[in-house]
Amino acid sequence: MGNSIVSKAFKVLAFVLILLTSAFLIVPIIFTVLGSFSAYWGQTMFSRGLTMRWYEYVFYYYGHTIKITLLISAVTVVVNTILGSMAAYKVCMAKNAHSKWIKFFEEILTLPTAIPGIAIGLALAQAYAVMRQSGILILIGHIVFTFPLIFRTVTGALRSTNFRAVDEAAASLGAGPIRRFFTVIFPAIRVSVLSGAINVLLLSLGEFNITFFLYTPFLMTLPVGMYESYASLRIEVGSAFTTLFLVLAIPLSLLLNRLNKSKTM
Amino acid sequence: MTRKTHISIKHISKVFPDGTRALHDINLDIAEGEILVLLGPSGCGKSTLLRTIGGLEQKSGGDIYFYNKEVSQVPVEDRNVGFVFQNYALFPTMTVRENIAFGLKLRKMAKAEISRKVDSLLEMMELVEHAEKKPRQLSGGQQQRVAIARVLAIEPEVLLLDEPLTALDAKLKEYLRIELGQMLRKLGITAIYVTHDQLEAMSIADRIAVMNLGVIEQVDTPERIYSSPKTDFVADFIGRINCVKGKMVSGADGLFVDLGFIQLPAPSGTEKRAGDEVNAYLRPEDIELVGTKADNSGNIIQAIAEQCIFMGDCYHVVARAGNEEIFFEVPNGARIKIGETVQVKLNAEKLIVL
Ligand SMILES: Nc1ncnc2c1ncn2[C@@H]1O[C@H](COP(=O)(O)OP(=O)(O)OP(=O)(O)O)[C@@H](O)[C@H]1O
Ligand SMILES: [Mg+2]
Repeated sequence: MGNSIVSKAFKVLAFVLILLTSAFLIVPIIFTVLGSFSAYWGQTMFSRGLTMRWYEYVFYYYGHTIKITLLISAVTVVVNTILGSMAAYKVCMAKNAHSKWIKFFEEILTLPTAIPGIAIGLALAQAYAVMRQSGILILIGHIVFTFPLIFRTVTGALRSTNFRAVDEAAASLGAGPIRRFFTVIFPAIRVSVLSGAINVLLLSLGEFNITFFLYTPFLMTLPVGMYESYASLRIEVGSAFTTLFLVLAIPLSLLLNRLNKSKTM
Repeated sequence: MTRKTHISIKHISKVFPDGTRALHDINLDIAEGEILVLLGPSGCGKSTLLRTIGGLEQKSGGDIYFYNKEVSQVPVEDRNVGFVFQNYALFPTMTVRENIAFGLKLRKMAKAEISRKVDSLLEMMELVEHAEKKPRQLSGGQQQRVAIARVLAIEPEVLLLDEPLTALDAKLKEYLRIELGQMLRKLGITAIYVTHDQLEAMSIADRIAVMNLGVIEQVDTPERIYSSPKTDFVADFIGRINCVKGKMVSGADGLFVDLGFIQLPAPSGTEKRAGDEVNAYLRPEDIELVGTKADNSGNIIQAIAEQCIFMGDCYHVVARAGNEEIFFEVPNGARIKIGETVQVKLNAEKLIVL
């Protein structure tokens, strides 16, 4: 009896949550998407009909931000997938995995998630002002900010099974560390690496806080451009921009979901 | 037959970075083709010693020689040792065949030759029908056979086995123990085998090194470890044994051990001298019930039965002799009542005095 009350309560709670999510997440997104096709988003959305011109507008004035974002995110993902999994492998397989140094290293690596992006952005902009024009700072910011994500995903995967013994077995059979990583360890954790990489990609694509302090008029990323378009242009342009971003991000996050499910099974 | 020394360990010590002293001044020579078992309680340093010999751990001091070559700076990849671990440590994404071929591929062996060799190992290990399976599709015993095939493939100079059978159930363990012992002998490979299971150690070893708290207490054949332990720890650790405090005394015809309730002739060759306090050890099988009828052959004591526990094939009897408790076994037929005075004969020739 008590059980049925509890389960009823849970059902109600779940329903409320779904309602809230819909109200505050899905509905606004639908509005934004619809708005991006509206010729004039006034009192009513389609009072002046449909149009594609906001998209043309975005591509014309902000096309470069999409290209830059894709480039920066791609480099970030490639660099961090390689560095992050290698670092995780090194840390997990270290002979003395509990040493002070490794603990310290791990703590340093997780700092970027603890420090607000604004602080990282500001700090980078101030410390390396000379490098700002080249855009390399944006890339560095993205790499630093997303590194902990893949590092932690891969260390988690490496610690979930006894990969240390597997690694030692491969070593005693004559395989050096690089070969061990690529032929023995990586194939076993590739789903985790891939999901870490997609996480990094999503985070980098949408990164705003750090980039906002580092961009230049010629080197602007998609989220910064999106912000600018909302701030200084028509809301329909911003909506078109947002929709374009969602087209990029939503398939990735669906894929991520699917990977995470396959991992737990 | 004296065989050439293959592995020579000189003054090896190991301190882990956290300060744990796992090995103290280990000295050990292992002959070519010998099966040496490292036996000892949990945490005594068996695995650490094995891993140090194989190159998975760095020694803190001392030298390790393979023949006359000092190898402690040779990384594990180049030491040509084969490890077999308790948890198998198979490569999870590779098939059985790929697992076994792994070391051969690294050695740049021709494809045809690899597959010939893998086939013969599959056959030898009775794994032919599992060749294309992944490790997780195999039972524990099958996985361990793959692990063994995988190291045998590279024809290692030394085989290092760390509790290879511990994760298996009792039946399979016994079966594989016998198989493994025969196989190692047939291959004639030098092997170091870690276990904390005495039965496994006794049945597989040419010699056993008994370890305790990071030191080797005694290295000897299984028979000598059992019959002539050199330290209290070994006497106590190996098999079951009676221990009675005693004192060396000199009697009319030589040295005796005074146990309080009887004086037994001291073992020949003992270094103890009259007046020394000693621990005297006697195994239960060296205590024999002689019934209540008089027997004049000597070394007979009266004891009062305190416990008599049915063990299936015999009774386990605990009896009081003077102020000491002794235990021994009696055959099923001989029922002993608690409180009854029994007469037992001590086999003084088997007495161990430490
Ligand atoms: N990496 C390590 N860091 C610190 N201490 C360690 C490490 N590995 C082992 N030790 C310690 O060294 C000692 C010997 O450990 P070892 O694993 O060699 O014991 P063992 O005889 O193999 O025991 P078991 O039968 O339980 O496997 C133990 O006290 C253990 O806690
Ligand atoms: Mg061990």
